[in-house]
Amino acid sequence: MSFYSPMSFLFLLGLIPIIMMYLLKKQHTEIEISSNYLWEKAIRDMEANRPWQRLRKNLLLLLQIIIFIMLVLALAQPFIFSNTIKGGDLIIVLDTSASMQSTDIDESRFLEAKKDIEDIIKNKKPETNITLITMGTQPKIIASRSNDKMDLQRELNNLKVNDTTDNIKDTLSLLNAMIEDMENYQIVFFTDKDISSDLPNLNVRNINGQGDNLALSNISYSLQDNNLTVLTRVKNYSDSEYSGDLVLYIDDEIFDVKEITIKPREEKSVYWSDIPPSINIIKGELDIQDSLKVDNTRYYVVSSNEISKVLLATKGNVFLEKAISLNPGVELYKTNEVIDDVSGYDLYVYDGILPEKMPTDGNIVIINPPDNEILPIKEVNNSGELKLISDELFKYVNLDFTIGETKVFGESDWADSVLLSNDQPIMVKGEKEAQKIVGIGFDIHDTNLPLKIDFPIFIQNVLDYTLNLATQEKTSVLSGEYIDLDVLPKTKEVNVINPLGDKSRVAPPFPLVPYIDTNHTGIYTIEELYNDEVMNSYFVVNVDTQNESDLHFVQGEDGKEIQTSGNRVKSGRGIWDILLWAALIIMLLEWVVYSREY
Amino acid sequence: MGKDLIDSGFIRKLERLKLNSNVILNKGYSGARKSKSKGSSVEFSDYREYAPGDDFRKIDWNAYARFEKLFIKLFMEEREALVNVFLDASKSMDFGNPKKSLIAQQLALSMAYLSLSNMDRVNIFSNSDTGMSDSGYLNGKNTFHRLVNYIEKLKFDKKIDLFSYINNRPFKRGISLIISDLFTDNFEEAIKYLAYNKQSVIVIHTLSREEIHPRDTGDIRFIDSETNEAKDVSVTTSILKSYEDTFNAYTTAIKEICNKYSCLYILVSNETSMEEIIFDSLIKAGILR
Repeated sequence: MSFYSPMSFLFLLGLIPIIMMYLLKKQHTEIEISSNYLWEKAIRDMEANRPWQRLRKNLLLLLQIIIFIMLVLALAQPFIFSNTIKGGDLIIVLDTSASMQSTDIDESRFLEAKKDIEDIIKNKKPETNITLITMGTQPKIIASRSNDKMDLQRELNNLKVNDTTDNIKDTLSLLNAMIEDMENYQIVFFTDKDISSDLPNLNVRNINGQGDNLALSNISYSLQDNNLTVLTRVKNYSDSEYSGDLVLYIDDEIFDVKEITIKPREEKSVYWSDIPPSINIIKGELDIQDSLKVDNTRYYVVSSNEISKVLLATKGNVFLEKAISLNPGVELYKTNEVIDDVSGYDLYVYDGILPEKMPTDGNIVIINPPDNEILPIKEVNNSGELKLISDELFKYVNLDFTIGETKVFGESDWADSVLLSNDQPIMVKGEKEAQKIVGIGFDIHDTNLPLKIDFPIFIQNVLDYTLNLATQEKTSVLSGEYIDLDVLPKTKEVNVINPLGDKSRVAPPFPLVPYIDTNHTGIYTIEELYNDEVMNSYFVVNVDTQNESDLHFVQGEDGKEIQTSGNRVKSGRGIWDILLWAALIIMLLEWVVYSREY
Repeated sequence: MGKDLIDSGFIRKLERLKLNSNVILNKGYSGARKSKSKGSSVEFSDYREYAPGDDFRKIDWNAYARFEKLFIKLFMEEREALVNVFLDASKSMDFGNPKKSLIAQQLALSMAYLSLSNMDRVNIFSNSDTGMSDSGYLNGKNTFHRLVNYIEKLKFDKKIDLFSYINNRPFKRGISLIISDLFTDNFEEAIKYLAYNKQSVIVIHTLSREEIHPRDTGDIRFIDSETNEAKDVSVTTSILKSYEDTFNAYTTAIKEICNKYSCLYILVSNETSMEEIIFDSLIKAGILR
């Protein structure tokens, strides 16, 4: 048994006045009698027969002391761990996912859990080492086998709940790895999710309320007749009917408000039409009082429809020309000659020819190049068996074409092979100094690929790879997921401004690493700086409503009743209520003793 | 004088009674009590053959005429008895309502009176501040006022145990009457000594109601009137039960001692009236007849 607040034992000093009062009170009515002769005999006999009679004289005092001690014990808040750890390791896992924000327990589930953990830390045995882990999208070790209460306390205080979903699987495997070299340990989970695991010494403290929740589960748009139609989906996760307002914001201004009524457990679609297309962000907001606020708002980025400029330098290639111009977002410029010092295009396609000095501001597709420095050509031979390595460019493209003569590229440190012929690279792609370069070793005319129905798709793939630079390709992620940032090759500096307004530098250094700090929902601004110009693009982070919005205790995946025996005991079972009851019963006993003058 | 303790009507009633004692008297002054000695009383006792040296005045000449032998007529000799009244004047006797001391005084007076009226010699012993004092042996009804005087002047405030002084002086064969609450451990010693001194002992045990059946409960500090010692007792029903047991054991022990030394014993409560004690209890107990 341990105590949450051992300081309360100071109240035991209160026993002193109780005993003092007993000593000071005029205990006995004085009666003068003829002789104590018989009384002394009587009492002597009695005490000889029943030694505890001596105690009985102070029975009331004893009972009062016991009551008092019970009350002090209750104040000290003792608790019992089902399996007491003796100076071992205590691993505390705190769920920091979005659902922990729900306010159906006190301030929130998260704060409640934090309070419990604080108590555990405050009252931990000196020889107990505590490991603190947060369970978000990824489990994170906040403190490892720490014995320093202050340190643990500080780390705990810094913890914040975020809008992510929890990764129970990874957390459990982390725990599995951790406990391998621990002998005496105890794991306590503070979560509102179901933890089904056969990990030994696992205690799950379920922080659950009975809160009702509604969520905006989806928001998206489609382009119809030059106007946008927005679809929003609202799901009621509760067992009661709710009605309220659904508000649609467009670039932070209210566009429309609709009143909705939604039945228990129902999901409802709401459409909004006639929205001008030239907007950046749409945001839906559900104005209903429920336990979890964070999933009442959802964002979506409307793709910017900027036109990309593509320069095609070729002696003549109709296939290529047609295929590229199929893309409505492309403005194609053609040239038959090599122009040096060219700039201002998003993509340069060199077919059979190359400039002496490559452009520096756009991506480059090099087809059937002459010998050059960027893509050194190893040899020229007839192609043999084709083998695909990277399938990004060949998405939805069948490999059932043949190639005549092709150039084999030499090895370079930036390029990855895409297509091999006789195990020699004949198509490569890669990023060199923030420029994406695709190299194709064969002449388009020297293959039957353009005759295939897959050719335009292949070209679109190439364009997708090389042209998505101006806009952020992926614009919506779930909270906690990482996102790849797509920036222009010419960008010198990349910053991301999160919904809280905090600006963080992502690059340099290049190449960009995926952006992982998506713990808060809202609109993130990617700020690209180049040549004293600033270009903003956006992505949004939303809550994983599928996993986080259902506040009712989610049972195991197979829907089976969760076994509640053995290692699923609640941790920190408080026994102060028992003590209070005991105190009350003893008080009744005291009353009986007193009234019966026993 | 004496009227506070005992009135003349009561005294007249007392004259019909006498102390019953099987004490065999053969010494002492002649009195009204039959003695083992054959003597000069008017009451015929027996015949005996004449032996030389006998008082020939006692020869029954009628018998000589019939049997031609000399017979001597023997008569009962009446002797006076020595009645020792031990009146416990300790502080503990000064309790109760009416006080035990009052009952004791009245009893002592009554006994003394009827002894005197039976031509016995009476001595009242009681504890003084230093040991045991006595009134001296008195006989004849005309000395009654001196006894009354002595008893009336007794102060029941002594802290000395009367019983521990009884064996300090010898007693001639006689009757000893003990009036006390017997809160002592020396009782048996004293009785033994008295029996050794050929006393016919009568014990009148005077107790107050509170001592027989205490009723006070709660936290009580009992203060011993003799020693001023305080005793804190939380009087509960079980303590009362224990007291009752102790009390029974205590009276039984006294009765056993009395049986052992052939004493007459009676327990007298202060709630019983004097007349009831004298004319009922004492007679039933065979102390008076």
